This record gives sequence, structure tokens and C-alpha cells, in this order.
Amino acid sequence: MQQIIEKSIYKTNGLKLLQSPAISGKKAGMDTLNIIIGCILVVFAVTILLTLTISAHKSINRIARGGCRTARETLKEPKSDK
Amino acid sequence: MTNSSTGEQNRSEHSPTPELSREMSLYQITMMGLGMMIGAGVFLGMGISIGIAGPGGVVLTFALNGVLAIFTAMAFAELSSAIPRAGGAYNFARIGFGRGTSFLAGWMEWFASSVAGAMYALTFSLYTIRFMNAIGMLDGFYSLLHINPESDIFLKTIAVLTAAAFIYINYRGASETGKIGAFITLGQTIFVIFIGIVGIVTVIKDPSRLNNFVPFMPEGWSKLLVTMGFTYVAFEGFEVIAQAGDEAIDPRRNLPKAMINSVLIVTVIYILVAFATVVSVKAGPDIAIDGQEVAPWQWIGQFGPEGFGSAIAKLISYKNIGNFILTLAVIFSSTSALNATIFSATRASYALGRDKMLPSFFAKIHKTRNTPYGALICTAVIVLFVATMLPTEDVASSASIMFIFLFFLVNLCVIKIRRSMADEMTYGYMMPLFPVFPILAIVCQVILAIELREMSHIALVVAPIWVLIGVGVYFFYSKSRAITTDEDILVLEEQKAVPSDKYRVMVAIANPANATALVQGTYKLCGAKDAQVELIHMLPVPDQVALTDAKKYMTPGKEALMEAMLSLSLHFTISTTIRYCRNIARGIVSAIRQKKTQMLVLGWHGKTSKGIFNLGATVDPIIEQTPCDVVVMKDCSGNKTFENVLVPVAGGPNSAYALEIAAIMAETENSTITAFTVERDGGTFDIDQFLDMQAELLSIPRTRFKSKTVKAKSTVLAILKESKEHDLVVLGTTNKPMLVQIAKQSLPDKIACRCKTSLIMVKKGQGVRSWIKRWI
Repeated sequence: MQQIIEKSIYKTNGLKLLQSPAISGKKAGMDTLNIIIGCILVVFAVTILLTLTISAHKSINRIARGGCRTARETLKEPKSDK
Repeated sequence: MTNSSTGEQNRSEHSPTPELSREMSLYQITMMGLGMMIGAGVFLGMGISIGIAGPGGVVLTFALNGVLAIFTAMAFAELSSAIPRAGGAYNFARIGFGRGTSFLAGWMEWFASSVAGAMYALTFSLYTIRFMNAIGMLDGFYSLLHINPESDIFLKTIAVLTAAAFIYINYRGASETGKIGAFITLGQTIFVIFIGIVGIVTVIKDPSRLNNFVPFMPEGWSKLLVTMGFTYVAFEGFEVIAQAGDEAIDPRRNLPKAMINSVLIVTVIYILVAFATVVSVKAGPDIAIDGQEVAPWQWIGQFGPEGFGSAIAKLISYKNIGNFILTLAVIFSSTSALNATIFSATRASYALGRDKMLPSFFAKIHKTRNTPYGALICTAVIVLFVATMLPTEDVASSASIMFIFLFFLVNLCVIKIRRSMADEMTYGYMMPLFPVFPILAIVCQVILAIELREMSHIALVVAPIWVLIGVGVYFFYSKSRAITTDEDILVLEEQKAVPSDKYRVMVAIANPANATALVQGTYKLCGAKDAQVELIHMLPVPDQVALTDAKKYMTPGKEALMEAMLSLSLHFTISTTIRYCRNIARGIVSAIRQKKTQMLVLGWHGKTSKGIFNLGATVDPIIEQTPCDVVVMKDCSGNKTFENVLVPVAGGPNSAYALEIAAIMAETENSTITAFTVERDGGTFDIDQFLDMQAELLSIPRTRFKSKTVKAKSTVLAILKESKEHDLVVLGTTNKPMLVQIAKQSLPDKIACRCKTSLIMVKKGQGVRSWIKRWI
């Protein structure tokens, strides 16, 4: 019960609790962990987006240069220009 | 034909074919997609998402939604590069799955765009009223008209008037050009980037604002899925880009680039804006709800759909400039998106009416304005009804869930089209790691659709009901009426047999020159089943040639087919069909379903394929998709007799069927059938028990079967070695799905490709399972 009340207060007034010395070390630790995971996820998402965008551009240009017609020709086409 | 009609025909044949001019550059179509994306979705969704998922959750919502959106964008990009025509999802579904699914795609697109239109109208109204309230313009109105400022009447009235205005604009036929649209979108984009930059500058000047991110996810990680589902509509823009297929310059290159670029740009912008929104408010005593000081995210969240506006007004607080710029941006983005969605919804319902899938009223065109007023009136009814009757959050949730359904379908289409028609398509872009991304997108979209129940129960009821109504309309109205001018298969010659209850065998003849030899090879099979035989010859026609014109240029091979028919006609009931088709495999599968064939026999040249197919672009899909039994013969033609037959068995239904076919082919008393299995470590298959059971089931003397078990490291090599001592190998095909086989060639396919002996591959019909495989 105590936990539920604590959680409810934490939800409704996170700022006060943050400034309050009563805030538990566990919750502060969880927030730090969440922030770290969140930052990693955002960086990860942007990296995936960038990688897929760059690879799409390369693939589109490669197919256009190679004059491939069908899926089979495209899949057989070497990935690199070397 | 009269002289005059002949003359008209000649004139039409020699007159130039009208076509759309291609004028839209990569920049313009990218901006067109961005214009649809940066709109009400983000303005409405930001405040609501902060309230639900917290300050960290809102940033993650847009970042992860961007990843999910790019998976679907890749599907749209691949399909648009292969089918660069106006029509978007409707076209993809038509080509991938046929008329029924394309109707459903058009039906969903109509509703999704209409609901999105209602959402844009509400957003326009919401932010306009907000700005008027901020400068005190409405105070007099409220007291004069005795309206409670908290009531929705004013909001709904302005939304309805706005939607009605744009419905009228569409009725008049006015629409913005690509250049003006791009200009407006550029303004919106600059505005949101500006907000992001102001947010970063604010944090640099006052780093304590980073404390606004604590607690990071106050409601837990599960709320993230709810807000992702809710804001998914903010990434809807690929459909509009796909619609530009007829007008884009170099569409095979530019359409996929525009789709993927727009997702990247918009995701980065959304992350920046979400960050700026969270840090826009400085914690302090003035940030309070009911006199109690609260965290900034709670303060923003309390305003719901207006939360973004309230936050930006705090961020750029100088003389209401923030409010003013924001209102201008929202007005621009909402109106351009509202116009585009009404246009798109009208076009989708008009297409359904034109193709006779909906009543002809939908296809009515105004005599002087040339606008589809029938479809527009029906669209207007949906837009106005939704805007008036549903709360704003339910409208946004309904739009999101409908687009999730539509994108789900497009992801299925990309898998289906790559699998079944890859060699017919000219691709400008092919996604990597196929089919990982569409499958991931499908799974995530299902989860988001389910999680949206927390946001709006109405949306979760309305969207599936709309889909179910669509299914009902299709089966009870559209299916029998839809026009068939663009059929994929055309029957050229057909000699029908007298209907009977006999076992129906279809012999597919690829090369008329080998027709007689193949038919002789199937003689024993037909005899054993006392069958009624259908000879079918499919002629593939390239896309450039209309099916109805194909007979002018191609020889149907009628004589060879007649010769083959004669060799069987003394003993069996025979019918023949010659069909023109776009794809041989699809043509054969379609004929099997139509004629309710029970066994298909076809020849295989035995050449291996190094592409995505194992046995060939025709044999692989046929084995996968046919609902009946399939017998594929390699080097069994003519009047060959087989004395020594090898049947590799593993205990499955195809192994049992292989034994049955082997018993038919090795018909002489002296012939032997060897059931062969390779024992590996831990194997528990009892071959003798299997043979006892099959002999009893097939009513074949057990003495006709011999069993042989060997121990070997490589099953393939052991079977290939054993096959050299036999004159025929009968092999059951794999039951693994095609998608699995792309990644790894199945064992039967490996043996078939390397076996030098005559070979028969068999597959037992799987009824419902093959029906499911046809669709997935």
C-alpha cells in the first residue's frame, strides 16, 4: 500500500520529490538507467535511419547505373563497384 | 464491322496516346511527403504524448516511430519503384493479391484519408480558437452568445466550416500545384526546425532545464507503445508520394529516394521538436495545476492536444509571437493537409466507383467542372460526421489505426510481389535483408494497433467495423459487378470436356514441341486414376502488349497441343485450353482453382536456378501455391519404363504420396520400389513401420516395397549416391514456406538439382494450408 501511495505521489509531483531529500535512491537510480537507455535508443534509431537511407541511395544509384531490369539481375549484381 | 467504325478504329490506332507530363522533381515530391507528415499529427500528438509517456517517452515515441516508419517506407519505395503509377496501395494490392484485396485497400484508404481530413479540420479549429483566446478576441463572443468557453460547440463549428470550405474547393476543382505546395511545406519545415533550434539554444543558456526529463518515463515503458500508435499518423506521407508516380521525373529513382528522405528528415525534426517542447517550460511556482506546483511535463500534458501550443508559447514568449507563428504554421499545415486528404479520399472512392466496385454514383463526374462530385459528396459525409460526432483524440486514433491497417497491407504486398512476380518487375530499388523489414513492420504494426485500445476504444471498434463492412460490400456487391478489363489471364482457345465426377488431372505444357512426350509420360498416372485430362498451355505476354492484342503477334502452338491430345483421346476424356497470361505460374494456379483440378502434372527441364528460385520461376511458385497434388517430372517423357525406383522417405505426407506415385510408375511385376532413409544421430524414424502403414493405406502388396537404411553424415550425398543404382527417383517436396527456402535451399531441392537420374517430385495437396500460403 505504501508503495502505491508513493508511486502515486511520484507520478503527480515528480519535481517536488526530485528536490525532496525523501526521494529514494532506488528511484533516482532507475531514472538514471532509463535516461541512459533512452539516449541509447534515440542514437540507435537515428543511426538505423541514417544507415538505411544511405544504403537506399547507394542501392538506387547502383541499380540505375547497372541498368538492371529484374529482381534476379539486381540480386546478382555485385554490391560494390570494385 | 462497318466502314465508318473501321475508320474510327484506324484513327484511334494512329492517334498519339495521351499521357501525363512528368514535371515533379525529387525536391518537390519530397516536400509533398513532408507536407503531409509535418501537420496535425505532430501538433496534436506532442502534448498528448507528453501527458501519457512523460518527457523521455515523447522523444522516444518519435525516434522509434521513425524507425518503424522507415521499414514501411522501404516497402512503399520498393513497390513504387517497380510500379510507378498513380494509385498507390490500391495498385499494389491489385497486382499482389487481386481484385478483392485491392478493393479493401481502396476502401481503407478512403476512410483513413477522410478521418485524417476530419483530424486536420479539428486541429485547424483548435489552434485558431487557442490563438483567438490568447489575444482575447473571443471573450465578447462567449458572453454575447452565452457559450461556455469550455464547450466544444465553437471547436466543432469551426472544424465543420473549414472542412466544408475545402470540400467546396475540391468540388470547384481547384488544387494547389506542386510548387505552391512545396513552398508552404518549406515554411512549415523551417518553422519546426526553428523551434528545435530555439530549444537547443535554451538548454545551452539554461542547462537546468534538462531536469525536465526527470522522471524520464513516469508511467513506465508500456505507455510508449500507446503513444507510438497514436502518433503514427504523423509519419503518413508515403501514400501521397506513391500517388505521384505518373507525374514524377525518373520515378523509379526519385519516388523511393523521396520516401526514404522524407522519413529521415521528419524523424530528426520530430526528435528536435519533442526535445524543445519538453525543455520549453522552466519549472517553478508558476507551473502549477490547481495551485499545486507540478513538473513541466505534467503541466504541458494537462493541455492535451493544445499542449504543444502552450509549450511553444512559453518557449517563444515575447509579445505572443510564439503563439502567432505557431498558429500560422498550424493553419498552413492543416489546410494543405486537409486539402490533400479530401482530394486523396475522393480519388480513392472515385476509383472504386469507376471500377464498378461501388455504385456508379461514386464515378459521377460534373459536366462542366470535371470533378468527381459523387465521390466527393460521400467523402464529405464521412469527414463532417467524424469531425462533428467524435472527440478529437478518438478522431486522431481512428486515423492512426486506419493507416496502420493500410501499411500492414502494403507490407504484405511487398513480400507477395517480390516472391511471386519479382522476375516480371523492373525495380528501381530493392530493400536489403528481404523480408526481414516488412515482417518486422507487420509485427510492430499489429502491436501498435492493439495498444491503441488504451488511447481510444472507439477507434479500436470503428476501424475493424469499417474493414468488416468493406468485406461485406465486396462479397455482396462488388465481386459480381467489378469490371474485368485488366484481367491477367485471357482464354484464347478452349475445348471443354463433358462434365463428370472423374478424377481431374491437368497436364501443363510449357513447350508445345515436347507436348506429346510429356503426355506419354503421364499416361500411367492418368490410367491409374481413371482420370479426366485437361491439357493446358500458357503463353506469357509481356506487359507492353495488351492481352487482347497478343494473338496478333504470337503463335499459340495449337497444332502441337492437338497432337498431344490425340495420343490420349482414345483412352481418356480430354479437354484443352490455351491461355495468354502475364505469368505462367499464376496462370496455371488460377486455372487449377477455376477447374477444381485434383492433380497437376508438369515437366521440369532440370536446370538449376541461381536466383531467388530453386527450381525455377515457374515450378517454385506452382509447388508452393497450388491447392491440389503436384507431380513434377524430369526426364520421364516418352514411353520409358522404370524397373528400379528409389523413394527417399522421411515419414511426412509427401513421402507417403511419393510411394503412391512410385507404385504407379513402376507398374510391372518385376519392378522394385526401394524406400530409402538416411539414419543420423538421434534419428528415430522406423521405415518398416511406415511402409507397413502405407501399403495398407494404398492397398498395395507390402512385398512391392523394399526398405534400405544407411548411416551417413550428408543425407544429400547418400541419396545421390543411391540414385545412381536406380532408373527413377521419386521425391516428396519440402513443406517449408517459400520465404524460408529463399534463405536456405531445401533438401529435396538440393537433390533434385544435382540428381542425374530421371526424377519425379511430388507434393500432396494441402487444402487450407495452400490457400493461406497463396495469401501470405
